[in-house]
Amino acid sequence: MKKTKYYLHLYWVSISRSLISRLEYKKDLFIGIIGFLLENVASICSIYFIIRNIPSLAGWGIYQMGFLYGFTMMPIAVDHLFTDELWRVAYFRVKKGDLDRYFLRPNPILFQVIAETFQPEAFGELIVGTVMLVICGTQCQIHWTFGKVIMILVATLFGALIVTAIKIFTAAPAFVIKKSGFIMQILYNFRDYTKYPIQIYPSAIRFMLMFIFPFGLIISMPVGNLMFDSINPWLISLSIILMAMIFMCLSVAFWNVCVRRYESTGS
Amino acid sequence: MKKYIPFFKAGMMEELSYKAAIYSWVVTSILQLACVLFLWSAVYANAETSVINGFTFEQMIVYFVFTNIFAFVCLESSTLGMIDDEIKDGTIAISFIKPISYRIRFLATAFGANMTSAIILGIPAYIVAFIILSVMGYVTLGTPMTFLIRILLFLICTILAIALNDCINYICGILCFYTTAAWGLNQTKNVVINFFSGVFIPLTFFPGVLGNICRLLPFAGLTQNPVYILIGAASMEQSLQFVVRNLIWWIVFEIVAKLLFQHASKRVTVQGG
Repeated sequence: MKKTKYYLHLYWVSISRSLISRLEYKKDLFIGIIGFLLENVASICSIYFIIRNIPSLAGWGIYQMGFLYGFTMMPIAVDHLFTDELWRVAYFRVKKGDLDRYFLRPNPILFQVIAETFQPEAFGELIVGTVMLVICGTQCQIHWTFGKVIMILVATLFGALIVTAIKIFTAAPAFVIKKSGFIMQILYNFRDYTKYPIQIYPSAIRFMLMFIFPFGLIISMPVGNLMFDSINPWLISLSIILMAMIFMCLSVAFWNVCVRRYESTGS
Repeated sequence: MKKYIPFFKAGMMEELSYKAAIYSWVVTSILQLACVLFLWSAVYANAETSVINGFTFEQMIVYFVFTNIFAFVCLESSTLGMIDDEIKDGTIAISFIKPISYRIRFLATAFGANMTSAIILGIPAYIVAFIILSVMGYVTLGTPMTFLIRILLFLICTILAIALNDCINYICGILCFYTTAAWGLNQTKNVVINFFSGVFIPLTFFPGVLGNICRLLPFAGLTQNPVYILIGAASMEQSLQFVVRNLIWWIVFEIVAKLLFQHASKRVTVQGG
């Protein structure tokens, strides 16, 4: 208990430093948010321009696709808010020799890395995602139940944990091979597949999206259930929680193995 | 001319050191193309006609294969990042007093980088794509003569597109004199270029007036127009028009860049160094 309190305090101190330095450059933050908003607007428009030519895509109408798109942003945004530093570790932190100081401190390396940044831009993602969910959701005639509400919350929060686990797993090799950003990018890009209904993919890819890069499990399954009442929502919640636990354990173990093999680049 | 050759070489060397980036591009673009393939086969399976906005399924696949290669090979420009780095570490002060043009230096670097990526990646990728797609019957080469003219026009259009793209990057770099938001500027610029140049979807899919405007914007010349020339989707007359349009837009953008630079160079704030 005392330990938790200590880490919470440490996290708070560290994050407020990061926020203060971000807010020093308000214009930058603003332009960053604009860039990010445009990216999503362009993406949504592209999907709309395609879909408006056909009555439905594998049974999904335009609003259902909009809802799906909105939901792809939720777990990603939660993860983005807290663990953006992992990108930097994967791309250049090791190579620049920035990580040596972490090894001199008595706290876990992973904790120190994650406490390094808090990404306020991600609120933009959460807002766009929520707006899409509300606008499209009201047009979709979703039959809401208590189980479905829980399922959406679980998919957002534990889904974010799964995304974080994938990022930890792919950032870890950077300790050994200096740079692993491109591996992270490739795995991360699988989320683009979930912007469209999972039914359009052949079964091998569907299997992959469920169990290996489980973006399908945290996005396509819950949304599919909301739209078509396919599977029991509690079952989906349970499998997401289980998957998140498995992925997190594996990733942290792998991270620790890699950290032990770290050699400073000495610059 | 001679004094810019070292920058051309530096651009080439830098590009060569990005092996990891190239491997990851190959994997990423195969994954992306697979996604596009599944998406469009589902779209065409659900459509009432076999032609959507002038594209058959086969033409759509050809279009995406070539835009994907083009966007990676020819839209590479590190100008924005380089200007931002120079502002941040203060070396820009030295760059200003060097007896070379600040603008042409970046243009030379961009051509060097694009030349390398064209040779080690672009040309092999185009050849493989042409062989596979023509064996599948998705793309026709025409007579050797027309094909040759097509390639020639494509080359001219591409060189102009590289210059235009680098100029847009340069303008965004100059904007870093006013704000340090290089990351956000880069993000915004990339989205605008990708969306309006037809990397996400062909511009014929844009509805009504928006579509007509987008076809005239400079961005169309950055991907869609050269690709149209290469895959034979544009007539000879149109192809020439695309080339001229790229030239005009490039000149316009260079003038804007010049004026902007004159204003901005008076108020550059160096952060370190």
